[in-house]
Amino acid sequence: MRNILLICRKELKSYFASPIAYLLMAFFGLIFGFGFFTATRDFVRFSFQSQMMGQQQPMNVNDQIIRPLLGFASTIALFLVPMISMRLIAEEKRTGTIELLLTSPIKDIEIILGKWLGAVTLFVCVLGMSMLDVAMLFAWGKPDLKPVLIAYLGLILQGACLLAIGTFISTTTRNQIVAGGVTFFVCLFLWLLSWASAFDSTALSQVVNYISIVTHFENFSKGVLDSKDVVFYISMIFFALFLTSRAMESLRWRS
Amino acid sequence: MVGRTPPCAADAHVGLFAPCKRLTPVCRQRAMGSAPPMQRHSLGKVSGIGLKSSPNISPTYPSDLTILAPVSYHVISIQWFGAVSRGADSRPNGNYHVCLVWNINMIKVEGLTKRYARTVAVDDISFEVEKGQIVGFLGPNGAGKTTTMRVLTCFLPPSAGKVSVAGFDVLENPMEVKKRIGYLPETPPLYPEMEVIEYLTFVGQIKGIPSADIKRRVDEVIGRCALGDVRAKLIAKLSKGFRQRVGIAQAIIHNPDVLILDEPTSGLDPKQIIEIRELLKALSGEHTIILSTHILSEVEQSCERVIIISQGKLVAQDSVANLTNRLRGAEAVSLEVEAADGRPDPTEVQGRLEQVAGVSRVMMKDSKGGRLTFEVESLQGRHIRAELARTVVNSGWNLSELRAVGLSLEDIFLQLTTVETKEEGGQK
Repeated sequence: MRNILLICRKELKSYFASPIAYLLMAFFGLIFGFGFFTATRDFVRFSFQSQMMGQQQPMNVNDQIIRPLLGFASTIALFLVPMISMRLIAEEKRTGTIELLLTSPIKDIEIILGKWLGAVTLFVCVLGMSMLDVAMLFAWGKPDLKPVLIAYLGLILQGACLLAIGTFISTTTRNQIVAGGVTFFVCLFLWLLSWASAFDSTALSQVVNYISIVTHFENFSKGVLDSKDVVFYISMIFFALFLTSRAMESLRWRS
Repeated sequence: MVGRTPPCAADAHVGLFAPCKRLTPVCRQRAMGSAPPMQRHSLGKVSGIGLKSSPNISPTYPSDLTILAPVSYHVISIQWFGAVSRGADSRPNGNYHVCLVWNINMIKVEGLTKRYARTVAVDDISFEVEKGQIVGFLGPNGAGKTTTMRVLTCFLPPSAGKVSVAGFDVLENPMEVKKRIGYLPETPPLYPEMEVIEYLTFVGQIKGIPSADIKRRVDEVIGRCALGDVRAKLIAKLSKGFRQRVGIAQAIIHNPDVLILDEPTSGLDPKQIIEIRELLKALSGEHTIILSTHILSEVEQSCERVIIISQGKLVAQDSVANLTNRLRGAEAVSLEVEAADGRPDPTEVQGRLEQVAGVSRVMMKDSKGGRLTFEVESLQGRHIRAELARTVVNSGWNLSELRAVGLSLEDIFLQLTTVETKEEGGQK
């Protein structure tokens, strides 16, 4: 456990020693902020209009601002993940520092878990930028807290899952760009899977739909905490990290 | 493991005595370091960890000691030589003479083979390295030096063969091996975004140094590797020489028993090379060091033993002194005598040559085309060329060639490592 935290802390240090962490946070903060601005503006305008017209349409901050925004964030996450995960192991392989890690008395799985945890922590930090905007809603409005928390949990789980896949891909190459590119396409593909099966109800498309990482986020974004989705994410994380540890071992046998 | 009586054999390893109450770490080191020579005893070769009971003490008695003797000190057996004093009930009161027997071979490689997908990088290599030795691992680029080192450090698993470090097998007990090895790969494994002190602390932590000791150890290696001036600098900003030193600092931070350095001086300027060499010398007492290089003078200067490999095969291993003595101190002369119609008789020539003062050995090499070729070796430090020529001419034979073949370490190295290349080239 100590070793996992050591590696995790080292990863975080190198993220924050380079511009990448700040860049991602700024990038995400800006985009999310822009989305927040338009969504809130439209919401406010719409609620004024409906008040002036005397219509009593139910307006809900949760449904009309937070939910679409966090759905938007889950899409941005697809772009963030490759940028976070690509360097994890590929860079160590390129610079040769992997030799230091693999010849130190720590287990492969500790290295992998530490690195993945570091990446997840950075992802949470990046996601944290959106909380500034959401906090404003809480300051001036009365949204429901619980669904927001559940949606964030979903975002984190989805990110952790994609990051585990990214960690695996990063283990298979020594080129960061390749790792990043492949991870991006895998993320995109997993996202597209949900489209492919959206209007189809055959057994195959059900399966495809189930595999798509994004569909499992939908329940979270509605504020529904379904154990089925949690189990899906956690088992995907396990599977990807297991593959990573296998890839790490094959590294020893082949390199 | 504990309490097993070790099998004994004729050739002996050395045990040291030290009176100690319990084998505390301090005590253990004293036991190893400062025993008077007369008290050294032959105990017989011991393999495996065990306990020899002495007639005075029941074997169960010192059992707590066996637990205290950690394998990290390669203690193979602990022998009790009776209590220094005894209590009223004639039981030992706690002060004993203890004799430690430890594994002399820190590194043992038997039949190591490493195959990659298509090539055999290392082919059936066997060697042993004793505790405290500095061994030079010599060979041309691509000979398999790095691969062997990577196997020793548990980075790569061997395809065949048995490799053990400090008594632990690299496949069965990699964690124990890793704890005892400091490794400097060819390119120092540095994180450029870290400060020197930060980096060393991180390495210390992952090498398993308890957090209470880390600061002290980091300061120690910083002092040792003369990194004081750059301790707070980013590694990315360091010069090559400093990076190499940080690399060495990283390798010794956990005070490993075995230090494996892959070309520690490559790419450094002469002044830096000397500094690194000095550093290695200073380290050699307590650590067993293997360093790879393709620079011969380096081996001559800092190593006690040389292992030469080429094309994945071990071609020579000897002490540096032996190699240079054999090849430099004595003179080797190649001598060619013309012969016609079976005269002179080869045995006669050989007999005459052997009688020349200072000759230690005469070898008939060739007798083709009416020429008899001999190789004559002199005794240590004798010059025999003039006398040989005189003998041949005085006997009425024609001397057609006489040349010195005295080999330097360089020659030997080239000879050993290029013969095979030629053969292979011929086959292609």
